[in-house]
Amino acid sequence: MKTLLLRSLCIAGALGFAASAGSAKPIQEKRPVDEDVLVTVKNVNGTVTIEGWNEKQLEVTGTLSGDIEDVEISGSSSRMTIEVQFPRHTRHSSGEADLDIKVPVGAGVRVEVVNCPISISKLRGDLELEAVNGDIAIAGEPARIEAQTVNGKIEIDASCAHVDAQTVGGRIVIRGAQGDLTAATVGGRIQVTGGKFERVRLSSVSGTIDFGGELAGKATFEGESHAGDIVLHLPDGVSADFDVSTFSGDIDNDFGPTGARREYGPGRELTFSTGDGDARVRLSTFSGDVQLTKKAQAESER
Amino acid sequence: MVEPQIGAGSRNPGAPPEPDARTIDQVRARDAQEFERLYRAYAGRVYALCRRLSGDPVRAEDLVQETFLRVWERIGTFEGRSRFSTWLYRLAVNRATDVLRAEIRRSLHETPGEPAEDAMPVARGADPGVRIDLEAAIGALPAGARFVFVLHDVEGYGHEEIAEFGGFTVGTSKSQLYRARRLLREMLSR
Amino acid sequence: MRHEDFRAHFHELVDGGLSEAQRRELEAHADACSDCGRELRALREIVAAAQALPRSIEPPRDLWPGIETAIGRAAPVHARVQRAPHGWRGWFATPAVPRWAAAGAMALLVIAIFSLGRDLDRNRSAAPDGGASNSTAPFPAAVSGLELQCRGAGQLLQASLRLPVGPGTRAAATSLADGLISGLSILDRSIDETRQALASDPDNPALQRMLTARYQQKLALLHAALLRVETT
Repeated sequence: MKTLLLRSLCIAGALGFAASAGSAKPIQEKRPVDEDVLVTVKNVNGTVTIEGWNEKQLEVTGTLSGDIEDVEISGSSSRMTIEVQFPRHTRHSSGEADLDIKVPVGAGVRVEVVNCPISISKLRGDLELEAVNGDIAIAGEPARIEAQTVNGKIEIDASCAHVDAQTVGGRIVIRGAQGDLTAATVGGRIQVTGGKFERVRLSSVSGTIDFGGELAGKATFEGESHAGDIVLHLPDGVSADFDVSTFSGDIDNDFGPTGARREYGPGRELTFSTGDGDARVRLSTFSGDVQLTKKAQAESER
Repeated sequence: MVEPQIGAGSRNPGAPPEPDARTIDQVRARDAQEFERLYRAYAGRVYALCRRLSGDPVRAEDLVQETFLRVWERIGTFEGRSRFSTWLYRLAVNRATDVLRAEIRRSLHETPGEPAEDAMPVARGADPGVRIDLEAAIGALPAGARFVFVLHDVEGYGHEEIAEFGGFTVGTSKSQLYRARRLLREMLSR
Repeated sequence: MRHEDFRAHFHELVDGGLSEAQRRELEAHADACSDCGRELRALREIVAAAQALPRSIEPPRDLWPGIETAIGRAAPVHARVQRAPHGWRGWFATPAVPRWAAAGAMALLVIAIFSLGRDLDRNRSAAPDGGASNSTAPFPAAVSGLELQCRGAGQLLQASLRLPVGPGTRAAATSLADGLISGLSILDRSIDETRQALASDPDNPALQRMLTARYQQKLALLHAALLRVETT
């Protein structure tokens, strides 16, 4: 399946031969694209910043430094790929590509990078972001977010209804999201504030999980951790069925009973309901503590 | 099922014998000794291919190692429907293409008929009567022309396959081949 | 026939692909025209010389040691490709299983490798009884399968991380290795603790579920890293 190629232009070719190591080469490229274009960006070292605008244009500006060969921009008005060309014949590239990219607000964006922080704002389409060593920061109103980074952290300040964020060591901070949220980490901590959710799955191994959002009517909430604490800040009038278990942690509950010890072995379980038991909350830890705290009235109305 | 133990026809005098199914199974089972034997049987062929495609003996060494590592990783996917040597050389060409892609693409955009700046014939020996040899001339070709020439005239691939490897059209493959031959003719007639 | 026509087609004359009539016309022109005849001979010589080049060139130095290092000097092992045990799929219902676990396990064939080779996991999780992979009770059968898969994935990853490839992969490999080692050591600690707890409370279904989930997370982490290294 071949997409129609409008133009495939190697920037180094247009500017002449590659600059010697140490000098920075500016980039300035523009292409007409559809308002729902799918844009793929690939980079190894540097930064990737993507912003939505109201033009039906793709604009790439920024600088290339070191021994970067070029940035290849290719594709059609419905699918564009921006790929930084790193020299393959050296083991250690000294180059960096700092890319500032503007795409139509409705664009779908896919980013694959190694050592680059990714920053996205003012977009309304779907985002798929992958970094090895880079922080991911997202603002705006994307329709869907799938973000993964190994060593970096993820910060989402966006009213997005489908979020899936994964890290290994970095923290995950989510503000203002809603709907469907999945966040998983091994060593980082997860913090969720604001928003109203229908489905939440939060998983950590050693980091704390701190949830301060709201649960919609028949929401389901699953929180799992090994050694990290799980802290939920819920409004006083929350209506939910709670199922909490921990092997060696403590359970602290503002909403009523503190849980019974298992009869014939270690561990604590707590099952209770508030209101009409509309939402379902299931929490499980090995050694982390579980805290169910009541949000102050003012706080929950913020 | 035993692979036929033949040299691969008149274009390949002295080709290494195809490994049999037992050898492939052993390599799949992570037998490093068998894998070394396989490496020794084919290293020269793969090196020649990589050196001519890349025009650079140092890069060629990296390409040889990377190719055999891919063999080790992907031997599980080799089903014996084609010859092992065919599969191996494809891995080598694909790896070399990945590495050379940017250069090849750049050289395709040069106007045909104008020798590229990097198609400088290797300096002649002290005796001006000595012509540069074909290997050196191939090494001096622009990347795209060299890519097609090596695969077509040296290795015997057809234009359809070459176009698939390189990610360009059959028409481009043919014009690059003719360009290579023209440039070689010029270099070798000095 | 004009010279330009001849030059436009004489490559095809050498390569084949012309009709009988076209061939005869071109050959006739080459016989009659000394310039074109000379060009045709020169072309044929170049093509013949290319075909006669040695197909094999001994590399200037022995490249085997680099390859051997990269494949990890694995002792002879037996690899078996095996589908996930049926019961395991049921565990995906476990709450909060990371997406990586589902995607990673489904995307790659499960490989069970018995090996004496090195392990990426330096903090080998030791079962309380000291055995490395005790597949009998009290651990769920799925766990020993997962354990073996983790070891296999770890080996593959170790080999992949040592591939002498381009700068992107080298950079990725170093940060991946650091991130992985810290993530894996956290997971291994949690696996150790859970196994110890299970040893004194073997019928605890919550603990069994937690242990399986930790192994799945570990395997998912290794698989995700493998995919990342391969595609960088």
